[in-house]
Amino acid sequence: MSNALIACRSVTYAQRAVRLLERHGLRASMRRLPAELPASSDPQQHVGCGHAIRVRREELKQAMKLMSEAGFPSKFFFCEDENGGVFQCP
Amino acid sequence: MPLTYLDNAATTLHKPPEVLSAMRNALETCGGAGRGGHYAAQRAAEILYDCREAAASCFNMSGSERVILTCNATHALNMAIKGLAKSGKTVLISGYEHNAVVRPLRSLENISVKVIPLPTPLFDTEAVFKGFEEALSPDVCLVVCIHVSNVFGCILPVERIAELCRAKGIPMIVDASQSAGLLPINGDLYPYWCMPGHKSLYGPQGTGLLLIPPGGNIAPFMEGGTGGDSRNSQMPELLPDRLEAGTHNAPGAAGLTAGLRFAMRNTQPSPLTHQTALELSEIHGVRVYYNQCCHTGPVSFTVEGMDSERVASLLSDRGIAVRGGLHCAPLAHTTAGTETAGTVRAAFAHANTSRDAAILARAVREIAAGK
Repeated sequence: MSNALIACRSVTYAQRAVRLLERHGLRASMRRLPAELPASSDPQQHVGCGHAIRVRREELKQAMKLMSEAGFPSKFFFCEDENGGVFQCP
Repeated sequence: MPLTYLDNAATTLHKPPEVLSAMRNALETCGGAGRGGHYAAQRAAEILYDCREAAASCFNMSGSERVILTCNATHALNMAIKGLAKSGKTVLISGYEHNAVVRPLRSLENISVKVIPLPTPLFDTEAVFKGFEEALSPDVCLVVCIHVSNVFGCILPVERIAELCRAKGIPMIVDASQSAGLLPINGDLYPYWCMPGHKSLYGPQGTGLLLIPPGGNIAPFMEGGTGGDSRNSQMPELLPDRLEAGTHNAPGAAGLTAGLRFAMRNTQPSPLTHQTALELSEIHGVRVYYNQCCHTGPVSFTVEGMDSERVASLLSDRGIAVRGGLHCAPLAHTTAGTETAGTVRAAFAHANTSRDAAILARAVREIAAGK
């Protein structure tokens, strides 16, 4: 099972995104992001202690589209291995 | 002696059972929201989010991130007032404001904020509107207006005043302490709305809300951890994080969510208010401050020749909980001319019955007759 993680800059936005995706039939959950990963395009705000939404990798595109349509600013995503490790998607 | 509780304008005592069970569940399951990826932290985050969503639904808001969780209405008012008032400028307030507005503004006099109260006759909504219309000069940086007087229950025309403010680009704060849960509130309108959770929203004490209007933002009232953006030494820009430092009151938020849902199902003001106002006004020596044209919530009255605290004490001896005195709103009493003896205030909530109203009327009749 391979998952993707969509970065969120606040826990509230992460919650909102999870509810949005679930309403559209996607499986989504929250997790913390490793501190070194960016949740924003602003390099001054590579923030530490960010939040992310975990979705199935095959549903990443649809999830990003739904979130974009709902006005979520997040454009950062990562891949997650089976052990919960996070890496840049190939 | 059974308690007839009519001090609901201070705090609704009888909460719906779902409020209690939600709080207990939160106490047993919640960690710190946003402070970890584990179940207990996520559970707390869910509870806070549910509370924002319930509030956004209750107050017709398009974005729940603009729902700020506070400790009470006073906390929300301090945040909004101190975030919006400007040094060297003027703040207009109605003549019916609570100390939760007056005292924070007085504290800003040391940075040359000038406060102008606009006293107007009781239950004269047109006079209130005209007062603000005439006083909105270029020097005004902020308007603060109570929606419903916590003393007299008079409704002030905040929506119309908000239109005036919007047209002139002047921020407005509404103290919705007595109206939230009783009157319709649109959180997408121009003002910043401040309200407690523990009155007609049926949440627990220690909860409150600040509703930020679309496009609105204020400087943080206090700074600290938010569970994210941790390398940033400044508070985050995003709402609600920007205005919510420190660990949240998750059990309180859980209770408030249940209370908000209850309030949405039972939103109309109690019919006992009108009945009581009429019954009390028929008692010789009792003056009731009431006008059906523009009233909701608390009913104030006085008994001729008696201090209001004395009347409240005699009612307490009979097992009736009301509040006498100035109700933390001396400005309102000065405006209405009741500052010397204060008034006795009774307010009904969902749990009250017509029997409670009859008990109050009978007791006041006895007290007024000197029995």
